[in-house]
Amino acid sequence: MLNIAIPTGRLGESAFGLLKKAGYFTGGEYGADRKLVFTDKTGGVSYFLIKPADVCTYVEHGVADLGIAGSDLIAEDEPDVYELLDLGIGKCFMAVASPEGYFENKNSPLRVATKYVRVAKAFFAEKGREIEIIKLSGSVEAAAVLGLADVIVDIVESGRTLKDNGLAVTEKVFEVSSRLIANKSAFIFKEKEIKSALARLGG
Amino acid sequence: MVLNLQDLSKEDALYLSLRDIYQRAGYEYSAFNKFEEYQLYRENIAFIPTKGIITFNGIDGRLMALKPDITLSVLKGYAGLPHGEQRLYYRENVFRLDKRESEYREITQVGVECVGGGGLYPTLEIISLAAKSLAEINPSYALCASHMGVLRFAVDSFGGGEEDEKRLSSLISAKNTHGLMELARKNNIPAERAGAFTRIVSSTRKLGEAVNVLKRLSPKGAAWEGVSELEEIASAIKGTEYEKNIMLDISVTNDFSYYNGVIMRGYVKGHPAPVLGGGRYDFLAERFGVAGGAAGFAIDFSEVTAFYGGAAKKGFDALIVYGDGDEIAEVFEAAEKLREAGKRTLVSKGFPKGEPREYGEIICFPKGGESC
Repeated sequence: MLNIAIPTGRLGESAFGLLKKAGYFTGGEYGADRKLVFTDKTGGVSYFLIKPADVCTYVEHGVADLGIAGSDLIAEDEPDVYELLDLGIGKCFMAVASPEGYFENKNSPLRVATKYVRVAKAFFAEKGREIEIIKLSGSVEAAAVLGLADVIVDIVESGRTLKDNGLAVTEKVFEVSSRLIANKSAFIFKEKEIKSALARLGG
Repeated sequence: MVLNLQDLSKEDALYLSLRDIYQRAGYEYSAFNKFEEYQLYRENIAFIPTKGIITFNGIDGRLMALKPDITLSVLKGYAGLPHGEQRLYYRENVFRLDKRESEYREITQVGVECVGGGGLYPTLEIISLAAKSLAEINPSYALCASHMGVLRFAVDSFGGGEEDEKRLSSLISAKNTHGLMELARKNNIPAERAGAFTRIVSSTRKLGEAVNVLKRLSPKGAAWEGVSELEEIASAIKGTEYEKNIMLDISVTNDFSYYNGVIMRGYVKGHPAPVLGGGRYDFLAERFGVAGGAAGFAIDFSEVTAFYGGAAKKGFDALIVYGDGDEIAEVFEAAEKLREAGKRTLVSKGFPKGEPREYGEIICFPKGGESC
């Protein structure tokens, strides 16, 4: 039995589409009910619907053998997992954004609001810029709009939320897309099932 | 004293089995202090990151540290000895930050070190001991081995500089073949060559089979020495009970400045994280003036404990319940008699509260209470 962690929300819908196309998820529909665990006994696969930020944790701890996680979350969590395939879905980019017309005062630490603490620290450390991290859990744009932070580090899809709030991207950090990740131990002991999944998903 | 081996915890029973394996291979037990001068770790910062090391001031003002690692202490200790091979095993606690760097952990490690022994034989011995150790934890296991020489070849073939080396190592470690191909494109590596290498990275094959693939990839290249050594190892373990459990897995990586030969990581079925890690670290040994190099491995007993799950609920062979007004000397005498007879005996004033336990027999004194 293979256990696959699928993110909930918009990314989950795309992931479900991919899995369905690959011949998985034959006996049910994504989000058809509020069940968090769905088992396809014929296909020998269990699917867990997990909050996107927790998929890496479920896979790293071996509860799920495979998972679909954004490369932004992989970069932030640095889970000890295999990153087997770029699924090409959930595409966006990690960026630094600030209020339009913002002028950086280099005499003081840059106040950076973000959900991605590790990513932000690494990015500014590379530049040798002293920063003060303000960790937030959502609606990060508000921090720059309301003056809690000088800049934000967050993922940007269309850029519309930024624009609507008078913010603009100042630097791209890296491209983001969803990846198929695997638990390292499962990769050895469930090699056949995982390689079959990889091949079916285009790896 | 009557010692009932069945009363041992799984971890203790495992340790006794491992001890037997190591002693039969000529390894002697070594005990270590719990602390070491902090400077030892500061000087070898890439081997043991100093972040999160618990430090304190010694009586003479020296900065001391609770040990985050045993290998450095082994090498430091060896440096003062006459040259020759030293084989030892240990069971020690080390102190480190957890992976999330949110809390300190006290980890029990059982390790094996062969110091001052160069050449293929000590490496083979360490691989064999690692495989036998994993088999004791769970007969369904895999010892994944790689070779720093092969990794160096990969880095030199793909990389364009120090930054690429770090990136490449991380991509290999994650079996991230799409990232490797992207890096190859960036550095103008022919797609065919990059593709052949990524196929090796993505697979975990039995050592013997994998060596043949590696030979085709690097017929006389920089990896040749590493491939040759892997071939010799594959040949030497042929026909052993653990041959089928030893895999070549290039995604096992480590630091180039310390490790030079075979590196390995051990997994047991049913546990998500590796329980064993080690390899040949001649470059680290050289820093301590050790001629001949060194090899070893450590088993993380905390991971093993997690694999075994919680301790089985155990009771006692006998429970004696007494209360205020009972003749204490009689209670004491009854308990001693049972204990002399080899029975694990709990004496409790009133019936024990809390988690229910099983008792072989219950002896109630008159004032033991209603529940008795």
